[in-house]
Amino acid sequence: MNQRIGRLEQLLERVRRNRDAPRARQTAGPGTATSRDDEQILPPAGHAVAPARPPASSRRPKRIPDLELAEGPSEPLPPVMTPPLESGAHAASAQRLSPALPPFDEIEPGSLRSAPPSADLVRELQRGQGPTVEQLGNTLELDDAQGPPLELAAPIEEHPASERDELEEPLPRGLTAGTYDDSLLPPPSVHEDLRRHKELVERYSLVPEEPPPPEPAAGIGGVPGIFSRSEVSSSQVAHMVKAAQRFQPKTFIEWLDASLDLGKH
Amino acid sequence: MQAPFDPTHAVSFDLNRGRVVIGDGDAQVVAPATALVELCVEAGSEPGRAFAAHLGSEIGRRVSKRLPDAARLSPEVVLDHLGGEWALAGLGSLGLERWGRALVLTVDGSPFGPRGDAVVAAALEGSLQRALGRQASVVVLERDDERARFAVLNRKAATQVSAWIHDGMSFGEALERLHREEGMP
Repeated sequence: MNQRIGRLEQLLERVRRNRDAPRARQTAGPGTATSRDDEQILPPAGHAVAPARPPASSRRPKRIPDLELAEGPSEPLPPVMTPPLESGAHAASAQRLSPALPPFDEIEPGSLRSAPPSADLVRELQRGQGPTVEQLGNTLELDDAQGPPLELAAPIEEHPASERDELEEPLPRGLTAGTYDDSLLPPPSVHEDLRRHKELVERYSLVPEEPPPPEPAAGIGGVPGIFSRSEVSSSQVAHMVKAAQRFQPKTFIEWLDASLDLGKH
Repeated sequence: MQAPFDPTHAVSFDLNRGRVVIGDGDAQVVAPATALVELCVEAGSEPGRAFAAHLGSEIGRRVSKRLPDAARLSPEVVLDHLGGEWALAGLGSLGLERWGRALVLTVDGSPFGPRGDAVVAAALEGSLQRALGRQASVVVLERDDERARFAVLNRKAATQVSAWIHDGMSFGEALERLHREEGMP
């Protein structure tokens, strides 16, 4: 962390020096279009920029007015424009850099990542003969990610299937039947639906309805009441006339005598 | 334990002598049922009843011979033997129904048809009197194409029930009313 702070302080010092240094005024050459791409975008505080190798279609390098003056006005610069993506590396990007700097294609990624700009390069930059510090930037090593490790769900362990019959088909996972979540609550219209159902049954049923079972206490302790399905009662398939059960003659003669006594008095 | 009704060798046909015998009784005559009914109807109520009563008495005699202690036997056993002898005489299939205290006999497939229900009723009276020693009045309650129902009552009650049914009361209502007038539910 201290090393990082030190680097940031060095970067801040260089920025201050560059700010105080005399800089050539940017002039737009003939045929040069000024756009927002020419503006320098500084990274926000606390953020480090580590461009290992800019892509060919990214921001083009900043124009260096001193370089234009050294080459003279007799050689007009080609119009500044962002090469298309499919055009590959643009040759103009390498021409605009200082001859002391290798072209981008020859820069080793590790060299940019590991070393800050040398003192000669800084002085050269201060003289305005090369890319600015902002263009080169400074690569800061980012610390490893800190903080608590991510908790990933443990992978579902596949139980090794025991010796299965070849005709046995395993049940699909997650489709367990016959269970339900105890925390599920009945719909708000459950009482109204039950009442309507009972009315329909009473209206259209030909079978005498049995006395309803005692209704369970619903809603106690958050547990929904369970209404069991009533048994299917058999329909009346035959008309049966029951005799008085109080008279059960054991012999035929007893029955005959009882019948003969009817209407005597 | 009373043995069930066994009709083996119950009817003997002596073709050489032209004789039909049921059990060890008198000679029988195989006659058209319609002719017998016509005879009973033409002869009048009392001669017809006398004829039918004699017919039933012979059935009761055979029952009493098979069941000497019929008074102690269950209704199922009595029905088994009485119905067996009734069927041997060719008078149909006998059954029992209990309507409260009333004893109701059913006859399915009577050869006499609706016109012969009175003959059947008189035959039943004779059978019960001879087999069980009870003087009963058997009255026709109702009948359909196959089955006829007869109530076994005393003379007074039989007359009353017949009057109710003649007035249009169903036999069930008549029997219920008979019980109600006796102070029974």
